[in-house]
Amino acid sequence: MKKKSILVAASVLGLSLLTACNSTDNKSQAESTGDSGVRTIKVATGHTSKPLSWVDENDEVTGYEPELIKELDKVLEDYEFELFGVEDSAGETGVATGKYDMLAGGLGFTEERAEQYIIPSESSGRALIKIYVAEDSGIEGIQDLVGKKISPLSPAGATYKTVKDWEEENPEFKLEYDLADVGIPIADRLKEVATGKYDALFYPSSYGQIEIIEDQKLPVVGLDPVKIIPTFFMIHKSEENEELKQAIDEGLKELAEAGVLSELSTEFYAEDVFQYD
Amino acid sequence: MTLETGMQELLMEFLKTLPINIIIIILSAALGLLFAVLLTFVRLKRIPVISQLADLYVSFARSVPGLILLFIAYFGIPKVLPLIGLGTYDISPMHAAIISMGFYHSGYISEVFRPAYLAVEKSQHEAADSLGYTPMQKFFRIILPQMVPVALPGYGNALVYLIHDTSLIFAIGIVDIMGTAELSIARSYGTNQILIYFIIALMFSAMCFTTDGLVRKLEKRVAIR
Repeated sequence: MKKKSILVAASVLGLSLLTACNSTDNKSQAESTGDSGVRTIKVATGHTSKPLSWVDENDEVTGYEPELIKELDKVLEDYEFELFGVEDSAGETGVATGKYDMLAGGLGFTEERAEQYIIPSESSGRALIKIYVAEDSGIEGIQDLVGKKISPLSPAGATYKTVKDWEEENPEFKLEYDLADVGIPIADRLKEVATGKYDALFYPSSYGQIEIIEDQKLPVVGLDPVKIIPTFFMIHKSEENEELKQAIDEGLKELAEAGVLSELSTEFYAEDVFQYD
Repeated sequence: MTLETGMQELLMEFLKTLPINIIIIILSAALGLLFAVLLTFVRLKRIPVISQLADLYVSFARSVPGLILLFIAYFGIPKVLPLIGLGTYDISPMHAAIISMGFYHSGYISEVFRPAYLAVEKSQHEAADSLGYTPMQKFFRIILPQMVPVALPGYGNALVYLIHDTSLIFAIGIVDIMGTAELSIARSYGTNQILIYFIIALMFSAMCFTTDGLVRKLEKRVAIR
């Protein structure tokens, strides 16, 4: 009796392992055997960065960057794009190792990235560093923030660098702020500005601020961007991907001229991020 | 959408993805157990070089954080296989998760089994030998029944750690219960974060509680009387 139950357990385990293997094998087979001439590009993108890129209720990867990739898929006949929603760090590691061919993560150009990846010449979007203040604060720009309470800045990332660069260029203004990697959701940080805990918050505008402010009826406004950073897709460094880079450049140019980028921006960020250029 | 229907939908989604966690836990626990038995055998036999390699493996598996092991399996295996002449194979996230969790778990429980084996007194070996038991008979009839009660509490702990570590697999895109939680938080711009993490905490507690219960039951059955 005991032996029998062990046997049953073992076979159930074996079977489930087999089915697990099978289901994934089929998929990888389908991926590798594309139609002749059409190359399938695996694109990693964030899965929890709404509205930049996220996985929606129907398990569909969507957002500004994924929808842009889908538009590229339509205009580039020699390529087919497959989207993978993963953590940012997994995306970057995967593109560096070649697990994915491309990363759509709203990343800006840096020398380090240019060394590690192929970066297209055409940018895919804009990251805007904005200041969020209470509607009646009277603050109109960064120079008005002297002596004000500024929400802590994350030491990593473009926001801190933007503020620091501005301070270096304008030594007559002295801003006071703490550095902290705050894991507080953006909705709560905007509320802190609304309630007066802080007078101002520096933040990239691509986190759905306009929608949050409208939904929660917060008396907060975003000022014109302090900095406009063009963002790029990052492509895995390899010889065959040089051709991909050319194609991406052509595709992005075509889409930008047709106004598709601005349309997508208005759809996902509730404003045209290219208007500040 | 009211809060209640929202909660109900969320719970349904969690329950839908729970089997993914359970499959990964069961398969990596099985893989880990199998490999740990082999490892412990090699380590106890003190075969030159191989035993040392096994020691190194155990130390590595236990000292590297789960997320790093997951990344090594997912991104490293497709790079390493062609190097050792095994052709190209693009590992799926599910396989990477099972392999890395199994790898981590095997190192951990090998370090539970080894002391459990050593805890059986030498005189027991000698008595079995003097009665003419074959090595197999000796192990299964005399040593193993005395090893299991010593190993079970540690093994139960290792299973709990394994369950905790499955919360990392969303990083490579597997939507398990933690993934469902993160996605739901992202979709609502983080407004329901605390509530969702609380539900997740309860679900992980339930899984650990069940596992703990099973191990305890087994402990009672095999207790040395």
